[in-house]
Amino acid sequence: MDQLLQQIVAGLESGSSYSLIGLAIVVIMKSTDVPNFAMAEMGLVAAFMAWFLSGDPALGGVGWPFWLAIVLALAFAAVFGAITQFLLVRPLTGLSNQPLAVCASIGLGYASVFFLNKEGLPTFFDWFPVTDEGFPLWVATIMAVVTVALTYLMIRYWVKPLSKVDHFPLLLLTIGLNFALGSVIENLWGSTPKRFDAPWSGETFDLGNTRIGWDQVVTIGVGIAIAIAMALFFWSKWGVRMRAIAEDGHTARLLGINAGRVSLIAWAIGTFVAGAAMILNTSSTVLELGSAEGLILKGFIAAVLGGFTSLGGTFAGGLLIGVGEALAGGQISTSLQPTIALLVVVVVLLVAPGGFSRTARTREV
Amino acid sequence: MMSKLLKVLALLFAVALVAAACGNDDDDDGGAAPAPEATEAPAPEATEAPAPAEEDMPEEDMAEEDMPEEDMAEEDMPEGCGYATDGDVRGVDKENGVITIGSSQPFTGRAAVAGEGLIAGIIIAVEEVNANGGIDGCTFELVWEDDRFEIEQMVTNVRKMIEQDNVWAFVGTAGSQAIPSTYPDIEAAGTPLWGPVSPADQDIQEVYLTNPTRTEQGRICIDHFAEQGATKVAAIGQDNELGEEAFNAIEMQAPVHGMEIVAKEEVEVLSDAVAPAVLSVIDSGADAVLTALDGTQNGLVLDQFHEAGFDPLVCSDQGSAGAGGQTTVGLAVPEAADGYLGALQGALPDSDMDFVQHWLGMWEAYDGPGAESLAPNFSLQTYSISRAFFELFDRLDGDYSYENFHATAEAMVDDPILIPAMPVLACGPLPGGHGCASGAGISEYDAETMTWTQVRDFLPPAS
Repeated sequence: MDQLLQQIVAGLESGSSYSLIGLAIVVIMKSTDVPNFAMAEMGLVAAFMAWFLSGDPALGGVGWPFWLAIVLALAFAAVFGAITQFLLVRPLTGLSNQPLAVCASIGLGYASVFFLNKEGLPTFFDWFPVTDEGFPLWVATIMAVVTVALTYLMIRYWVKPLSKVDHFPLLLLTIGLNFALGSVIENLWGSTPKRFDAPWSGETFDLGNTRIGWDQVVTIGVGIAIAIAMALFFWSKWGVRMRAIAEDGHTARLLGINAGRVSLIAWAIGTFVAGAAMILNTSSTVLELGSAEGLILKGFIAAVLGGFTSLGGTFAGGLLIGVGEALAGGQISTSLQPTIALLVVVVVLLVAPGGFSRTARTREV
Repeated sequence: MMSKLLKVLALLFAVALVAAACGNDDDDDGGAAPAPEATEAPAPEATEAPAPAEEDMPEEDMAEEDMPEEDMAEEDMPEGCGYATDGDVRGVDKENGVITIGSSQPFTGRAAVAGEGLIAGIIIAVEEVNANGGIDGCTFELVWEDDRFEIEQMVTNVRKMIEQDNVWAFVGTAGSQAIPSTYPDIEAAGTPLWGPVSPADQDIQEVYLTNPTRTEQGRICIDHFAEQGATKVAAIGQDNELGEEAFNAIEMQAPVHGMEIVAKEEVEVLSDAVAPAVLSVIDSGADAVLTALDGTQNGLVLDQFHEAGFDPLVCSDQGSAGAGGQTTVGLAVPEAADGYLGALQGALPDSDMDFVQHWLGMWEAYDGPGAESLAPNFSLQTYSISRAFFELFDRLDGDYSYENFHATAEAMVDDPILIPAMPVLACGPLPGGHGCASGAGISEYDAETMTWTQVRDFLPPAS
C-alpha cells in the first residue's frame, strides 16, 4: 500500500509536467492552429535562464536569489514567446514580415561587425584576394552596414508573407526552432548536466509510512494551480477571443477580433507555462540539453487526450500518462512501462476519439 | 536585369554573412563548443616541433622504459617509415613518413563531458610520440571528428575518415551504444579500430577491445558486493544494450556467490523518469544495486535512494559512474553520492603511479581541444589506449600491412602489452581473442573529500 501511494505520487509528479507542456501546446494550438514542436525546448530556455540567474557564480551563474530568478525567468519566457510569434510566426500567417526584416538585419549586422573585425571573411571566401585576417573596425562596420541594408531588402522583398495561412510552413518552423534552440542552449551554457536546486529540493516528509518529496508536492500543486488559472483565463475577454478564433478563425476575424494580437498573447502564455513546467521538472531532476526531449512527446500525448482543445482533458491526460507509467513500472514491469502507458492512451482514444474533450473537433489535414 | 543582379549579389552577401555570424567560433571567448572542423591534430609539419621542455614533464617521463622505442637510434630505422611495407597501404605515407589515424568523439552534445577528455587524451599521446621523433621513422597525423553522440553522425564520420582522410586505423573511438553501427564500414574497409570505449565484444576482425566490457565490469561489481556481505542484488539498466550488459552480468555472477537476484528494472533511454525503477528496487529489499544508466540517471537514482532513506551498495561501470571525476556524483547531493562505487577500466587520474603522473604533467600543460574538460579521467583512459596502440605499432617493425597488424596484435596473447594504468592487454585470435583486457578495479567516492579511491585491485571476475 505504501509502495502504491509512492508510485501514484511519483506518477502525478511526472504527469504534472506532461500536463503543463500539453496545456502550453493547446493554448498555441487554439490561437495559431499549429502544433508547436518547440514548446518544451522554449520552456527549457527559461529553465536555463532561471538556473543561470540563481546559480552559483563559481559554476557560471549570477547568484541572484532563487525567487527573483524564477520571476525573471518566467517573465523572460513570456516575452520570448511573444517575440517568437511577432518575428517568426506572423509572416507565416499572412501578416507583415517587417519586424523580422528589421531585427534580422540589425542582428546580423551586429554579429558581422565582430566577426569581420576579428576573423575577416568566412573560410569559403578563401579564394577572394584579401587578407585572411580581420578587417579594421571601420571597414568591418561599413561592411556590416551594407549587410544590414541587403538583409533588410532581401527579407522585405523576397520573403513574402504568405497570402493564405498554411499549417505546413508553421509546423516546419516549430521543428526548426526546436533544433535551433538546442544549439543556442548548448553554446550559451554548455552540454554538461547541471543541478538546479530549488529551496525544497531534497526535502522530504513522511505520510504514514510513505516518504514524500517536497519537490513532488510543489510540482503537483503548481501544475494544478496553473491549470486552474488557465481555465479562468479562458473565461476572460482575451480568453473568449482565443476560443472564438479556435472555433472559427474566419468568422472571428470578420467580427473584428485581432487575430495577430490574440496569437501573440497565446504564444506568451504558452511559453510561460512551458517555462514553468521545465523549471519544475529540472529542479526535481537535472537540467540538461536532453531535458525537453521526453517531455515534448508526453506533452503531445496529453494534448491529444484533450482533443487539442480541452484544457481539463489535457491536464487529466497528462496525469493519466504519468500515473499509468508509474503504476505499470511498479506493479507490472519497468520494461513494459512506456508501452503500457501508451496502450492506455490508445484505449482511451478508441473509446473516445475526441479524448477527454466534450466534443471531437473536425480538422482539415 | 539590374534588379536581378542586385538580388543575386544580395543573396551572396547575406549567405556569406550568415555563415560569418554563425560560423567558426575558434575564438576563445565564444560558446562552449569549439568547432569540430578546426580540430585536426597537428599536421605532419607540426610534429617536428621541439620536444616539450623538460620542466614541463616529470623526470620519469623521459625514462626510456616508459615510451615505445621511438626515440631511438637511427639504426632502428633502416629505410624510414614503412620500410618493410609492400606496396601502398591506406593512410601510410612512406614518402613523407606520416601515418594518418582517426577518431570519432562526442565532442559536443549530450556526452561532451566525456568526449572532451577522450579526444584530449589521444591528442596528448600523439603530440608526445611525435615530439619524441615518432616511431620507426613515422610520425602521426590525427584526424578526428565530432559525432555529438549521434549514431548517424558517427557513421558519417567514420566513412569520411576512411574514404576522404584515408586513415590507417581508428583509435579510441567512443560511444559504446553507437560504435557497432560503424562496424560494417570498418569491416568493409579493413581498417583496424583499436580500443573503442566499452562496447560489447562482437568478434569483429578489425576491432580490438582494450578495456574490460561493461558486462565484465558489472561482474566485478558483483564480486565486490559479495565481499561486502551483500546477499540480495538488483540491477537497473537502460532499455538498450547498455542495460542488457548489466543484466547479463548479474545473471552470470550472482549465482557464483549464491546471491539472490531480487529485481531487474529498466529505464527508458534519455528519460529522467527513474522513479518506478527506484521504487521497485526499494520494494525488493536489495542490499546491492548494479546500475547501467547514463550519468544523469545514475545521479537521480542515488538522490532518490537517499531521499527514501534506502542505503544499498550501488556500483556502475566506469563510464556511467564517471569514476575519477565529478560528472555523475556532482549531480547527486553529497550524502547520496557518498560511498558510490565505480568500476575501473584503468587507473584513477590522481593515482601516484609514475605513468599517471607523467600523463598528468602533460594534461596540465595541454591547451588544445578538450583542455577545459571537467573529466580528465577520460583523457587518461584514451591516453593509455593510445600508448598501447603506439607500442603495438612499434612491434610492427615497419610492416604496416593489415595482415601484419592483425598477426602482431593477435600474438599479444603470448607477449602482452603492459601499460601501467590499464589491465594487461593480451589480444589473441578470434573468436573471443579481441577482448584484449581482462579484469577491472573498483573505486569508491568520498563526498567529504570529493575524491575517488581505488578499493579493489584489478582482478578478473570470480568464477
